[in-house]
Amino acid sequence: MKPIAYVGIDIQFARLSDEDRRRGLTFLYLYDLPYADLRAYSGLIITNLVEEKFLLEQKVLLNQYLQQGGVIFSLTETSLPWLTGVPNWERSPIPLKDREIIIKEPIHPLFSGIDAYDINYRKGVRGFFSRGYFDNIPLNAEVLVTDQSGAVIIYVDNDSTNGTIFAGAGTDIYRVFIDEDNTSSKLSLQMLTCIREEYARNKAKGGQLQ
Amino acid sequence: MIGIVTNGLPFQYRFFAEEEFHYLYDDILHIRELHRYNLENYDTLILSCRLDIPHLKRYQSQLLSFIESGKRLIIFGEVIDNWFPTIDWEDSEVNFSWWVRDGGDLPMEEQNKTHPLFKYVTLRDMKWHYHGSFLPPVGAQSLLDIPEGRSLFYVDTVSFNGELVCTTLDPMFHIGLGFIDQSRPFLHGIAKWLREEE
Repeated sequence: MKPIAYVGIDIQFARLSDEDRRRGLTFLYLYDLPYADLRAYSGLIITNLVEEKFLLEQKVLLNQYLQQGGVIFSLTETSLPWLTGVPNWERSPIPLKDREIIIKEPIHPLFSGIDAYDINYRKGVRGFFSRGYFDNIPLNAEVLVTDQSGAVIIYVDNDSTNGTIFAGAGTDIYRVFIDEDNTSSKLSLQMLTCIREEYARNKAKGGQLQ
Repeated sequence: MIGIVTNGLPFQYRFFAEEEFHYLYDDILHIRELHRYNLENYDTLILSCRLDIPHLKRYQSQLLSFIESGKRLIIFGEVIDNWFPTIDWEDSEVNFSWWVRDGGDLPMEEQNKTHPLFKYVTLRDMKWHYHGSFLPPVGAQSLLDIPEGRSLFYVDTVSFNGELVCTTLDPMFHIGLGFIDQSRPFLHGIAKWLREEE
């Protein structure tokens, strides 16, 4: 099975554990992107620890990967148009202590079995999941998570490219709940499963993945 | 002249958009282009938290030459992989929820209280959480200790010709992300201290 690349700069908070690697993640150093063959990966998780200006310079590469049926899950608080259709991240006007995360019905497999309370609170502290939202998401995108005002926090877009774009205006949902002792700990594994399933679906649809 | 080094990360971009902190720095230097700058033009160089380690290593010599020329280097955040000499960093588990527990506390204590920074910074301004700690070199002044005797903030005027200011705290990150209110008075305190010393 091809690995999923976790894309970021190299700092303490971007480094993967042995457990992450056993799950099929591999670190792809942001500044190595121009030298990478993205067909080696069944998905890219692009963290918030990225230089968007550099990503914008690699837009052709990312688009080519998507045209081939690739899957990109962006966790970046975007301010530049390096990923097709993803609008700029906006900071929520709702104070963190009052902001409530709503998992939309029907529940996407990414959030299957996850109690919204467990992503609203982490050890009694609210606000880890998201501090922002997206306005003007792509027309046919499916909204997965909002706040109580309906502001979009995570969506999936199968329509704008031959591939799949997940975009999150939250935190690093692969990492932040990984060691929690409640339903939120399932999020990281379900994220990897969703990426792999999308990749397989895109490939079956006739994407040019090798 | 004060320069601040960025990696162009989203939180840094939003921190630089905060006008109330523009007086902290005169220039923004990108870590990927550090070789293009004449660092002799600066008296103080601030390294923002969460800079790419391979680039910090690449420019280690330039940064060492800067501090050895008698200038002040300020390092925020984690100092891993021994990328800069003399800095003894140790990871620690992050206690981010002490303040929501009844009677909860995050023990830390000011040291060397006559240091001029304390005209502008209180203990409360520095108390949110930390990701690790330092063991300052002999002769350096710790300004903030945790109970084990390790430091979260120290000033070293003995290891180099210039001054190394080193803190595990990461105010730019929290200002850019818009949470942890103390990070603002803390960074204003740093700015006022630096500008007073100019």
